[in-house]
Amino acid sequence: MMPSLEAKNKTGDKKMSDLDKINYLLSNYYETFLDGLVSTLILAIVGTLIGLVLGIFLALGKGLKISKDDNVFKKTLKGFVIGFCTVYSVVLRGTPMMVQALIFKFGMQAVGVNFNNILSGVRIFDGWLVAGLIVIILNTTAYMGEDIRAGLNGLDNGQQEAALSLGMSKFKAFTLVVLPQCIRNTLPTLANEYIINIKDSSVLNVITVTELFLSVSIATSKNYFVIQGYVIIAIIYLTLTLIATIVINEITMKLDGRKHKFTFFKRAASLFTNKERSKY
Amino acid sequence: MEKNNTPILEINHIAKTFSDHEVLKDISLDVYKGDVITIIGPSGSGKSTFIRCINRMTHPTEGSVYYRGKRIDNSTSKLLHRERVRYKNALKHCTNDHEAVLEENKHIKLKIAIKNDTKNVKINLVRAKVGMVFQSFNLFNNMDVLKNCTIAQRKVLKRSKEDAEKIALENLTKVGMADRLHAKIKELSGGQKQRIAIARTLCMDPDVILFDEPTSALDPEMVSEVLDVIQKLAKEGMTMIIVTHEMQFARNVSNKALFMEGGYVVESGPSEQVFDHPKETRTQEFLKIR
Repeated sequence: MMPSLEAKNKTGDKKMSDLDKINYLLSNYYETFLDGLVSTLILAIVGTLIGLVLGIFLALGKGLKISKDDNVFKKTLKGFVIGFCTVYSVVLRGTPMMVQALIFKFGMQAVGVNFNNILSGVRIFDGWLVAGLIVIILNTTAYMGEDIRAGLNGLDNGQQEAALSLGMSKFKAFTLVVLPQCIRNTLPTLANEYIINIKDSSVLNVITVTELFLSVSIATSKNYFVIQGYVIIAIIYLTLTLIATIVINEITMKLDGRKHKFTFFKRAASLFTNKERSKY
Repeated sequence: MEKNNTPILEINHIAKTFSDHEVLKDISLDVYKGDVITIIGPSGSGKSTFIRCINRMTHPTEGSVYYRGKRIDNSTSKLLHRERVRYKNALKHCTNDHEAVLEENKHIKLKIAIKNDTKNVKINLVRAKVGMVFQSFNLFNNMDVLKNCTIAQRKVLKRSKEDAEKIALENLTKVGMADRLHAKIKELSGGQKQRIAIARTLCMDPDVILFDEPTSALDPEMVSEVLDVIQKLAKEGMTMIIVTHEMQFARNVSNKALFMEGGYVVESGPSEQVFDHPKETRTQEFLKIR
C-alpha cells in the first residue's frame, strides 16, 4: 500500500504541520471522503424525502376520528390505525437512533437477513447503506409525522370546507389545497429535520454504514491524523448544513413572493454594515 | 315571481344535535328557481348550521334534504345503517309475530326507498351545483386569484384550461375583479376577497348559492361592494339563500324571509310581511332593536 508507507516516512519527520496533514489526508483519501459524503447525502436526502411522505400518512393516521355512525368493522380498523400510529411515534421519538439501528441490525440477523450479502460488491450503495437508510427513514417518519400533524392543526379548517363546497372530493381537497399549504407552513421545520438528518446519519457507523463519519476511521487508520480527519468532516458537515439553510431560506422567500435575489447574502452583508440595526 | 312546480331544494323537518345540545329543531323549507331567501335571527340561533346542513357540510340528525328529487342529506350506507338500527330497536318492542312481520315489511320498504332516493347521487357533484360563500372567505391561500377560480372547474367539472380561464374571467369581470387576475390572496382587502369568493362559486354554474353571513367579517365600506354584487345576482335571477345581519339589504333583495331563534323558525313568509308587518312579537322585538 503506497499511501501508508509514504505516511510512515512523513510522520517520521515530525515536522509535518496541521495543514500538511490535512492536505495529505485530502490528497490521498479524497475518494474515501467523497464516498462518505455521497453516502451521507443519500441518507439525509432520501431519508428525509421518504420520511416526509410516510410522515404525512402517519399524521393522517394519528388524526383519524372515530365517529358514532361508523360500523363495528370501521371502528376497529380506525382504532387499530390510531393506536399503531401513536405507539410508533412515541417509541421512535423516545429512543435514540443509535439504539434503534442496533436493534434493527441484530433483529434482522436473528430473523436471518444479513446485509453483507445484499448488494455485495456495489461501491457506495451496499447492503449496509440500505440498512442505514431503512433506519433513518423509520426514525424520520416519526418526527415528520409530528411536524405535519402540527401543520395540519394550524391550518384553518375553512380551507378544506371551501374545497369540499366546490365539489372536490376529500382526497382532492387534501392534495390540492390542504397539503401544499401545510408543507409551506412547516417548511422551516422540515428543513430542520433534514439538517438534523445530515448530522445524525453519523450514528449509523455503529452498523458499519460507511458514511462521512466512518470514512475518517478508514482514512486515519494507518497514519493517525485523527484530529485533522475530524476537522475535515466537521467542515464538510458545516458546509452541508449551511448550504441547506441557505437553499431553504431562498425557497421560503420565493414562496412568500419576495422578489429579492440572493436574500441571504444581502442580509449577511447588512449585518456587517449595520444597516439593519441602525433602523431601530 | 314565476314558480315551477318542483322545487330545486326541498328541506323536510331537519334537526341537528351536537352531543346533547339541540341546535336545530324541525325546520322545513322549499326553494324554487329564482327564489332569494334571507334567514335572519340573533347569533346562535342555528342559522349557519341550517345552511350547512343543506349541502351536507354538516350532517343533520333528523329529516331529509332533496336536491332535484334526489336525497342528499346523508350517504346511502349511513342511511341504511341508521335504518337497520331503527329496525332492531323496533323489533325489541314487538310483542307478537304479527307486529314483527309488519315491522319487517316496513323495514324492507324503507330500505328500497332509501336506495331509490340516493341512487346516482354524488355529493361532490351536488356540492358543485349548490355553491357556498363563507363568512371568512376561505380563498385558497396557495393560489392566485385566477387559479382560485379555475381549479375546481378543472378538477371537478373537468373543463379544459382555456374554457375554465374564459369562464373565470367572465365571472371575475362580473364582480369587478378582472384587473387583479394574478394577485396573491394576501394582498387583497376583505371586500375584494369576498367578491372573488362569489366569482369562484359562480364559475361552477350553480343552481343555488348559499351565503353564510357574507358581510359579517367586513368593515362598512366593504360591505356595500359585496352587497352590490349579490343584488346584481338577484336581478339576474340567481337562486340564493342568504344568512345575514344586514336587515335593510335583506328586505330589498329577498322575496322570502325566515326569522329563526333557538333552532326554530319563529316566522316565515314573503319578505315584505316579515320585515314590515311581522306577526310574532319576538320578530317585532328583534327588528325594532336594529
